[in-house]
This record gives sequence, C-alpha cells and structure tokens, in this order.
Amino acid sequence: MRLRCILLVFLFSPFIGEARAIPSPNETRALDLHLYGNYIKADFETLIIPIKRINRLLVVEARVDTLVGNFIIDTGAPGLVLNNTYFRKYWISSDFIASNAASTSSGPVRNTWVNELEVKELRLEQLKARLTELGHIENQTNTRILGLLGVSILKSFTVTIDLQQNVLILQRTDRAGQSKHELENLKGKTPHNKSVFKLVNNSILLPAHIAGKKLLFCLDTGAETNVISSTAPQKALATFRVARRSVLLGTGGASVEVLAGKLEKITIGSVAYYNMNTIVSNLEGLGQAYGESIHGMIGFDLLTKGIISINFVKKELSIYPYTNSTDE
Amino acid sequence: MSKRWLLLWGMFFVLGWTQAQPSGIHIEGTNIVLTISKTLPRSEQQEILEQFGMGQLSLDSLWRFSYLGKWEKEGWKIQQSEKGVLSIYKPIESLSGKIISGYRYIPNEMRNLIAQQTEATFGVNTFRKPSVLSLTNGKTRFFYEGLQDAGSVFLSGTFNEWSTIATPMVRTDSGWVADMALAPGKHCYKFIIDGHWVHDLNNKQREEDGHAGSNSIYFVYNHTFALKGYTNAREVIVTGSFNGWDERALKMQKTREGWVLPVFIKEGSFTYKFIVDKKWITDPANPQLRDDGFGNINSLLTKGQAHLFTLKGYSSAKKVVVAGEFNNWNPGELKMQKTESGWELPYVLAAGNYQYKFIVDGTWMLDPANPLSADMGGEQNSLVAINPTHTFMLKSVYTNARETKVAGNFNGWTGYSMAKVGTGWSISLYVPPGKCLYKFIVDDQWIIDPNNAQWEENEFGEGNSVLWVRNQQ
Repeated sequence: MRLRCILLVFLFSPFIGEARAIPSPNETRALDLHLYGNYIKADFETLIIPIKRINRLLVVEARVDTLVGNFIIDTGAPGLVLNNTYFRKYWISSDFIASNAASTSSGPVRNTWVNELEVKELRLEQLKARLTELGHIENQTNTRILGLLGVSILKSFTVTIDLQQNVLILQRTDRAGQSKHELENLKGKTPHNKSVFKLVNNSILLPAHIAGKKLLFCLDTGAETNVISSTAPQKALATFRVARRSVLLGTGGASVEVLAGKLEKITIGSVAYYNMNTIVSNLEGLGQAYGESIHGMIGFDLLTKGIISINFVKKELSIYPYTNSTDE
Repeated sequence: MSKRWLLLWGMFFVLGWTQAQPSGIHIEGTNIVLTISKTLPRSEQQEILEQFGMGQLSLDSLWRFSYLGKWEKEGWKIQQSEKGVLSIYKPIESLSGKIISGYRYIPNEMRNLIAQQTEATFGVNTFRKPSVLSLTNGKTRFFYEGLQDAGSVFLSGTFNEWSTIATPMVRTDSGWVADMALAPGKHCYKFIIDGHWVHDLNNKQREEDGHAGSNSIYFVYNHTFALKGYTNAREVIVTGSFNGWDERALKMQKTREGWVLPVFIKEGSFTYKFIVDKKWITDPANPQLRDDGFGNINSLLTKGQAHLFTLKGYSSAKKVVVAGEFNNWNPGELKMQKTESGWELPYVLAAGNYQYKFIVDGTWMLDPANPLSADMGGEQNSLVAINPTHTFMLKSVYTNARETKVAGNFNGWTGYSMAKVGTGWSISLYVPPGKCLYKFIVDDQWIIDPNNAQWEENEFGEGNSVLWVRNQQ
C-alpha cells in the first residue's frame, strides 16, 4: 500500500506545479526517469508551425532548455531525440544501464531528460529524451540539427502535414477525435484515402498490402525514403525493382548495406501507390523497438501524395488531395 | 531433405537465374543477384558493376578467375554458366548492417535536388512596388504592406539561416517591418504570415525554392556605375564581363549630372563599357583600362581587398615572384615590385585560405615574416587567409608543444600550422559557412578542441570538434 502511495505521488507530481523541486542535471545521477511524466501547456485550438524543407527532411524550430534550433519532425521516433553533439553534458538516466543491452552499432542508447521543450505556443515540461549521434544528418545536409520530434510530442493533437504549404498543423481534439475548427488547408476537400493504424510504443503502425501480402509498416516522416525489410515475404520482395546496391554511412562509421530501387505497387488504405522510392535493408531487431514485428517504414514519399492528417484519437490516417494550381 | 540435396537444389537454382535473368540486378527468391552476360558491351558490364557498388572489381579477373576480392568475405558468391552468364549473389537476409530507429540513411542518388541558392556575380533589384529599402543608417528595411488582421509575421531568409522564429516583423499603421544589417550581396527571403510561407509579391527578383515555390531575392549594393554628362542622351546602358556583355539589361538612371546605376558586383576583376545611344565608350572617370586581346580597350573594375605580399630585404635580387594556389603556382606571372625596404605586390583575392611561396632569383622560399604555414604533400608552404571567418585557439596547456596544427573539412584534413600567441596557439582562417569539423594536431597527436564542448563521433571511434560558421550577413 505504501508503495502504491509513493507511486501515486510521483505520478501526480507534475500537477503539483511550481513548488516541486526539479533536480538540476548535475545534482543526482541515479534518478529513475520512468517515474517522471510530462505535461503540456498549449493555449491554442490550432497551431500552425512553418516547416523548413531540407532535402526530404521536415524541419521545425524549437527550443530545448536554453538551446534553440532545428528539429526533424519524425514519427519514426517514439519521442524526443537529442543530438549528442549539443547535449553531451546532459546526465544519463539510470535506465540507461538497464537498456544497455539494446546497444546499437553506434554506441548504447542513452536516455536523459530536459526541463522544457517549446515549439511555438506548445510547451512540454520535464520530458524524457533519448541521446544519440545525429552528426551524419548534419554532414549530409550541412544544417545544424538539434534533434528529432517524435510521436509522444505530437500525439495529443491531430497532426496535419501539408508539404504544398510547408506547414505542420496541430489541432486540439475532443474525446471523439473531433476538432472545433475546420482547417483552411482542408476546406472543401474530402480525403481520397483513409487508413486505420495502431499506436504501439508511440509508433504509428500502418497495415499495407504488397503482392497480396498484408504487411505492417511504421509511418515515419523522418525516413527520407520507404524502407522494406530484407526479411519481408519473398512474394512482396519480388515486386521490388533494384536500381543499385549501396553502402550507406552513418555517424561514427556505422554502415548499412541497402538495395535502392522502386516498389512496383503498395496499397495503403484503399489506394495503390506505384513505383515508390524504397530501399531494402536489414531491419532485424527493429521490431523489438516497435514491440511488434514490422516489415518496414513508409516515409517521405507518402507525404508528397497529399496532405496527411493523423488523428491519434480515432487512430486514423487521412490523405487529402493537394491543390493543383500554384499561386502564380 | 539432406544437406547434400539442399546444396544441389541451390546450385540448380543459381544456374536457373544465370540462364533466365537478363543482365542487371534482381531479387530472385531469397537471393540478391547481379547477372552479366558476356555478350554485353564491356562499358555496360562495367556500369552494372558500378550500380552494384562493386565498380572497383576488374572485369577480367571476374571472368577469368571468378575473383571477388573483399566482397567474398562479405558473403558474396560468384557463379559462371557455360553460356557466358556471370552471377554474383548472396542471400538477401544477409545484407550487412542494420537500419536503426532514430538513424537516417539515404543513398545519394535518391536525394532530392535542392535548389542551390545560386551565387550571383552581379545583381540589380526590380520591384513592382518597393518592399525592401536601404535605410540611411546602413540597415535594410523589409516591408509587407497591409495584413492588419495577421497575428504574426516573420522574416526568414539566407541572412538568418531561414529561421522561422528569429526575426519577427513589427506591426505599423501601414503594414509590417523588419530592419536587418546585411552585407553586400545576394539575399533570399520569404515572409511567414501566421505560420504560412509567402514570397514577396512586390519583388520581381525571385528564384525557385526547390519545393514548387519561390524565394524572393534582394541585392545589397556595393558599387555604383556613374557616367558624368551625356545628359542629352536618350539611353545609357552599362555592360561588361559580369553579365556576358548583355547590351540591353542594365539601363542606367538619369540624374542632373549624368547617369548612375547602383549594383551588387562580386569580388574579382571585371571589364565593362557604357553604351550611350548605341555608341560604345570606356568609362572616362576610370583610368584603369584593359585590352581584351583583340585590340578592344575596356574599362577595368576590381572588387575586393588587395592583399599586400611583402618580402623584406633581398635588395640585391634581380627578380622576385610570388606564386601560389591562387595562380596555379605560375612561377612567372606575379612579379613583385622593388621598394626601399624590399619587395611587394598588391593582389586581389577572394575570401579563402591560400598557400604561396616567394621565388627569389629562381629559388623557392617560405615567407620569412609569416608564421603560418601549411603542408601540401610533404611540401611546406606559407599560408594566407583572406577575410577569415574564425580564429582557432588552443590555450596554455600546450605551451610546451613543439608544433600545433589545425586540420578539418575546410582544408581537406591537412594540417595548417598555428602561430604561438602568448601562452597558447592561434590561427585565423577562412572557414566557409556551415558545419566545420576539425581537430588540433599537437606534436603529431590528434586531439579534439579542449575548449569546445561540441563534438561528434568519427569513423575512427574518436571525436571531431564541431563548429558552425554563419553566413556573413
């Protein structure tokens, strides 16, 4: 009983407000971050955030504690991911030791926490974050990248990404998944495609069909291209047309052998998409991260097919047609 | 099924593709396979190998010895059929490395072409209605008319690294304004109105933004062409090497005293002429002229700061020349002039780091007055930085070091020797805008910058220091 009480105090502690002492990064190095939550200050019904396009990456500006800079909108990441280069002095949580087994080729997964994350009028406090090396993205794009904004930051809202207008729109929704106002971008439009998804461990898992096989993909706005696992069913892989084999380099010399090419046909929801840029790669172990066996990632290319809207209450992805004409 | 049967079945399978598959790369069953037919022209065979990332393999060794080199260790196998079809294959499941969540990989050939912000040699602004103004205090005012109902307007451009939050515009009675201190040159920009990107509709100068939209362009001027008199002329045009001798584009504006045209013009040397009512004339106010080699005399305009190369002493020398990276080490071109104390030569160079040497009566030598030097393939040269953008400092801990160098992606990771300053080491260099990775080399030992907390891992399992150099505004 006593244990339950202590847990309850911890669980509700964020709502106690200003009086709660927030340990500074240097105070204690052995606090278990699992006990911390985060709460959101968001005084808006609709928040329109301009997106900066860097190659196929979608970048918004945000502030983490005292640092302001570029963050990639990445639904392939479960939460906030910080670039080690700029957050190396942040202390590492004790759960790092427990999760050390899940070390990657570029070093162990390390967790920390930040006091504040602010994206325009959206503010999150006492937020758990993962530290990782993102230098290779910077080196490819010559753009300073502080981190990735993943699903846990976005999932309290309906998220709309419009790459014609280059905006990310967050909308408050009620318990039924309805928003108060219709978006300007979507006025007079009806979605030409809808698909349900599962939200597992803060990953958006979309069912898709390739060559009659039902596969599960993670919707990953941070993936510059679609990825399909080399262990996907043979029948599905047989529809992949290989253009070339490449060895891709990550930070710290990590390398991945991939086949780059096009997938003949993939059906998501009720719409078939043809010849999408895709890479085949070893995704072994990635299933563990998602908690389910997944066959790949649906990335940037889907965002070019229309305005996508992710309703986390209804667990529904809607795709609206882009306007054909330009402003000129 | 026994192992032997499996093996046999596998062999038949491989032979199956070698006969059935056209040349190229395919997924066949559980294997990734490259097939090349001997009947293909060698250039096409080579191309397929390149696409397979095995371009370094010799076609001869492949056909004659089935030699796969290092790829054999990576699990690749090779098979040749009697009909002259070669296959390189391995199970698709054995693709090496793993894509890790949070890591982002993409082959270069899949990259979108981003709109390169083309560097301008020269530029003139054209507005439907002036929306960017040069203020008397030297600043540049950006103006968006109207929008009284807007909640926020931001200015975003190359000058603030396309920040969406750094430069809020201020609401006035007639619209929104933001004043910026900008250096001469080409600046791309957009407005962000309540979160939405828009280009400047009043500015006719624009270029594609690479994402089906446009960026507006504003030039901050650094030169004014002027022609006195000719007030009775109907039209005066300035033309030159900077705009491909366009005979129509740059019309000058009439004033009480003559004709003027303010422009932005890049660092470097250009020739030009005025066309007064279709008659070509040199600039009467500019004594610098240059023959174009065909007997045409043009006016010469030199933009940029001249660096003065000086060598003290050597008064008995007959000929002193400076040669360097800036003139492809030409030993005869840049002759220095004799002065009372030695030799000198003013020479205009664009921003950058340049290695050079003096040649005194045929003998190459380092600049004795310059402590900065660089190593080029084992050869030591003097080093000069024009318009340096960063000073690298290594503090007192390393006072006793014999030699300290800095190496990074800006100099191809070759060492530039630093100068001893007080209790430490220092060098000011031109580092181009963007991400700079670097390290110090202290007495042959590579170290990251102890005073820079920002570093990232490199391929040697060590670190590289990280520095971001901003665009010069």
